[in-house]
Amino acid sequence: MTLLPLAVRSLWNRRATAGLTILSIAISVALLLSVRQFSEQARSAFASTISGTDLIVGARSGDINLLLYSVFHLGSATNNVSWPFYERLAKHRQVAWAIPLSLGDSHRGFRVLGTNDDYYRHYRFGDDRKIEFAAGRAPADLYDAVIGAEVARTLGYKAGEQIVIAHGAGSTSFAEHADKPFTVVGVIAPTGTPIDRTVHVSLAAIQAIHLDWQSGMPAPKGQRVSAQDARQQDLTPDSVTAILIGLKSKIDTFQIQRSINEYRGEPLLAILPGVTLQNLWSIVGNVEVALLAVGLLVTAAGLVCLLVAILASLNERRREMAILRSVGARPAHIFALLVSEAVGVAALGMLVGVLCTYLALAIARPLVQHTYGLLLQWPAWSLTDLAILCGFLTAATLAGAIPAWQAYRRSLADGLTIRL
Amino acid sequence: MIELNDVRFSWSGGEPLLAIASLQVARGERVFMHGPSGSGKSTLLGLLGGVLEPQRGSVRIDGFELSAVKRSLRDRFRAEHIGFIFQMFNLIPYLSVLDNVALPARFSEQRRKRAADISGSLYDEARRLLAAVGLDPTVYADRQATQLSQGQQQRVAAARALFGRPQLIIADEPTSSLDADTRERFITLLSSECRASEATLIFVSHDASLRSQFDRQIALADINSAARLETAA
Repeated sequence: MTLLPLAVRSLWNRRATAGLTILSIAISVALLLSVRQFSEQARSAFASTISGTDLIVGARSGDINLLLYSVFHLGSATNNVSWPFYERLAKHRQVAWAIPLSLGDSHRGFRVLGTNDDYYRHYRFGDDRKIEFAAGRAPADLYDAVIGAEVARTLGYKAGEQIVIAHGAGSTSFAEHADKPFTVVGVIAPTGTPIDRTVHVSLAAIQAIHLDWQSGMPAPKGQRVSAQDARQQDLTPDSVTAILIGLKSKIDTFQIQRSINEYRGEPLLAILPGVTLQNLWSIVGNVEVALLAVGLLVTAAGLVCLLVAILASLNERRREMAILRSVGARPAHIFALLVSEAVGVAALGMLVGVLCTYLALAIARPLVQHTYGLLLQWPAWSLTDLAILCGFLTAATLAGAIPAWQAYRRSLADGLTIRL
Repeated sequence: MIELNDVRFSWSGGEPLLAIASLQVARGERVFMHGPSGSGKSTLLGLLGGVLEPQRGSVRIDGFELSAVKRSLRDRFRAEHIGFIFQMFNLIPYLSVLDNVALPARFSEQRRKRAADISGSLYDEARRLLAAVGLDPTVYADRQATQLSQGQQQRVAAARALFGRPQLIIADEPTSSLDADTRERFITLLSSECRASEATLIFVSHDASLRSQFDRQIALADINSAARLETAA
């Protein structure tokens, strides 16, 4: 191969232009690969928001709606599940555990979740990870609260902090349960799930702060129940917002789901979290497609850059082509020389792009893990990525063939005449 | 060595540009070909180099019928047997002087072999030729082509044309960018090197004052009857 050293030296001679072209290709390839990695990891992080739970039960509404408010703490329930039903379910012979969830209040924009000890014992997310405490412990007293990692970071809370819960889910609520303050007793280690943005209290606490409330308003002064008096009252709730269920045998899942959905006592809905997560992703996933489209367009722009750089150099290289022809280069040599230059630039750009993707990830990894508790994986190159890279190289070859063909035609027409 | 018979050439069916009834150049002959610009010099060189194909007649070089074979064979023949020197900017800017001289070896097996036979290796032969054209290889071999003066570049081009001993050297106005003094020296150098390597030399110029240094001179107007055909028609 006598042309390769020529191509290399020719590129080196135009290293400023070639370098910039390589850079633009590297950027576009890195963007495309990063978008791919991002959406792959977002998808898997999304899918691992909740695991180990076989069924989610709530009042009858849409299955995505139920998933959104019970797991992602987004939106609100239209109705509740009665306490007696929860008790029946918890004692059911096929049910291993049932976690009651009570939502509706908030603390400075973060949702407050009322639940019981089963939550800390049985709730799973990601790859069968359970809730762990970065500091403190699970709530024991009525007015104990446990906060997620992001709550702790954003509001600067530590164990021992006194907090007041606001009625409703808004970030600026004027109706506060100021008479019954809570003490932060624990901070949950980052999970990368909505848990990080949640304040956890006991079910009884939710009941206690609402004892003297009537239709969403605090009672008039004389009828109020003090924090101490509340302890003496029966704090069994009337209802819960949703129930997470773990079954003793996964085989029973569909049977239990059906019998809950057909339950005549109250209108209920049981969903399989995995299936509904997938349905939800198919909606959210459009963003993924859009991002990928943007990535592909940017990559196409990178190729156009390559094409422009070579086409622009053709005129000034006309003389060079004639010299090569005169010493015996055939038009096919000229064609091969230009194509190999294009492919060389594209391949180098691609290599730098892949390295940039790793570099970006290496920089982002500790930041993301610290901030979101999300452990970014090193790129697991799939066949799709490989296909993308191969496709890119093919496209670069084709793009390089355009100016090469032009030079080929021209060198036939010009012959040995050197045109200025 | 060169034999043209009844050659006609025109660009894509236009008026005939070149019509040569007969042209013979003997082996080792050094011919000065003279003609004003537009008289068909470049076309004739294109035909001799096998880049252009005549519509009629035959072009034979060293017994090889150029006009009868495919383009790729003509390309190969040019690579093996002909050394070119152009008016100016003869060198590949991104190659060193030495690589420029040895460039024909990349495309011609015969010239590579011959060069190696003469001096032992390609680069030794390139250095020898550089020295022969008056450029000290220890000084100039590794320079970039663009760092040389016009006169030096033309001498490197001559060294390249001679590399691997092609039978025919075609020089197309190689001295028109040089001053009078360098011009004389360049022609003397080229002639003696051609003689040394027993190459036939076709030297084309519009400057008739250079003819004295050659074995023979041909005025293109005398052998090209295209202009006369045109007026006759």
